[in-house]
Amino acid sequence: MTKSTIVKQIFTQLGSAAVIASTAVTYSYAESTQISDEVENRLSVIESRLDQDDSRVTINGFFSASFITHGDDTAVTDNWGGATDKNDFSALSNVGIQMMFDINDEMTMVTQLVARGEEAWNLEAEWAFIAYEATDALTLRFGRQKGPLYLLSEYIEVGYAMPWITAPDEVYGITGDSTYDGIGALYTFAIGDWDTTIQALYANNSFYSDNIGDVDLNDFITLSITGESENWTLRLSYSVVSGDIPALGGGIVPANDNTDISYASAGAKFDNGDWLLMSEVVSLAIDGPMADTDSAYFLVGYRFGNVMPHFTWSHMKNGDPGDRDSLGPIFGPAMDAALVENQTTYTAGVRWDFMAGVAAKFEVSHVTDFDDTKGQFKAGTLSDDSVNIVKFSLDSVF
Amino acid sequence: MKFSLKHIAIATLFTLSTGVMAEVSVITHPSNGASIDAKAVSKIFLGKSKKFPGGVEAVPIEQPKSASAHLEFHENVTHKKPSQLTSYWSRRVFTGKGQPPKEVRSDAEVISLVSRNPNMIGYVDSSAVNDSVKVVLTAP
Repeated sequence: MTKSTIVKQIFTQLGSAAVIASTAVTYSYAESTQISDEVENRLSVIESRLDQDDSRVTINGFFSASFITHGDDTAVTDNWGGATDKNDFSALSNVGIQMMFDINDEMTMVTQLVARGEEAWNLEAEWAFIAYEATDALTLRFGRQKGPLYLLSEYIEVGYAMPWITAPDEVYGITGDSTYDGIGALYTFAIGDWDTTIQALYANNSFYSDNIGDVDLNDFITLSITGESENWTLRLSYSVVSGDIPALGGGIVPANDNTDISYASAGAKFDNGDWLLMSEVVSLAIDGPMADTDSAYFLVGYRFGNVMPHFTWSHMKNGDPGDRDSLGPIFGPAMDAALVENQTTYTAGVRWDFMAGVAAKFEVSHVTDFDDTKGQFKAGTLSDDSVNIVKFSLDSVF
Repeated sequence: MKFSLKHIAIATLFTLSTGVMAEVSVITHPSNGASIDAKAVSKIFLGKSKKFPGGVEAVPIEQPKSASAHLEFHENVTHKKPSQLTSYWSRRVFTGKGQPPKEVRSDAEVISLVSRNPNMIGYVDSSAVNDSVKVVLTAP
């Protein structure tokens, strides 16, 4: 007998007890009339509430209160607010408020404001778009929206929606901000039992990277296709963008406008309610001396009721070794040291959904295999060949 | 797990023969003529479809997580556990793709709303069903 069968039987028995209890109460006609009058009164209230809701704004939010520390005296992380071995309660913490306004039957305005601890809790608009439902299958979006670069890119801020406290840094730490200003389209259709979504975006963006400086991204084009069955999600995406990259290393690498950058990814997720398996393989390619990266992760988790222990392997490796050799015997290795990032992380964690809409998470990661590169740490800050990271968070949606 | 009418029929026979009745009924307005299977119900309650098979607009009515019918319905029809369902909706909501169905507080509220609105679809404990609504599916 499987576990779910046993669970079903327990519920069946609980349910039958409830039915026996309820049939023990017999209504006279007068009593039931009285009750239905009360119900009528409450219902007219509910109906007006539902009617009002339809024309009002819908507000949702998410919140993560997180803690991060690691065991290397000198290492400073590239991402995660530059976390160090000092106990840090703000680096990974964030709050988001989303408002949806129904303008009319076909148009909706969506605004999502996010404040991050690592940015002194300054509010930023992550999403701000008008959606136009052209047909049942086709929705167009105008304005600020997230690019569907990878599987989690569109909700990377929402800790509750992910198994981890932070998505694997090897895959998600290298994309920069994935919010863009432009035009998007979502087209949904069914292929047999598969709900399929094709998503496209044409947009621009600019961001600041500690490694590189200010980068303008122009003519960002992304295309993704996602298929969902009851237990499976399968996904492919490809994005290209033209980047204006500033001069590096004090002009060793000159500024390069219109640098072609591409992101390719394939992802799969299996979730049958007990087992959770997730994997993605991604490739980031940048023309010229900037480092290319190939990354992947694999997660396996199992739910024991509300508690899910999970284990993740994640890996990133330089995709263009030797590409900086042309800069000469001094500058080549110098740029390698500044830009190339190899590392592997083993993460063991547990997620506990202890209340509706609230999850507590704990994770321990062992980051290693830097191959003498900087890894996902500030260049020159690593003092050992591995770093152990501890994270804790309370994630909620409301 | 594949859900078919045959499974439902077998499950119903089984529960009847053993005298165990802890099932939920999916209900619509009596005038709703759409042929609605578990797959269609699942799509409507997960926001993947806004219409009944046949093209009439569908408005799902949810019950709160604390209701026993909620657990039974989602376990058997959408096949999602409570935490999975919350994660699912947080992914939809925070990517601007949709909102979860409106929620009311009891079987009686669901029945009364559905009995008065041809577009609504809800689920209740089967023991609460009366003639004012049409049962389109029972589970498990």
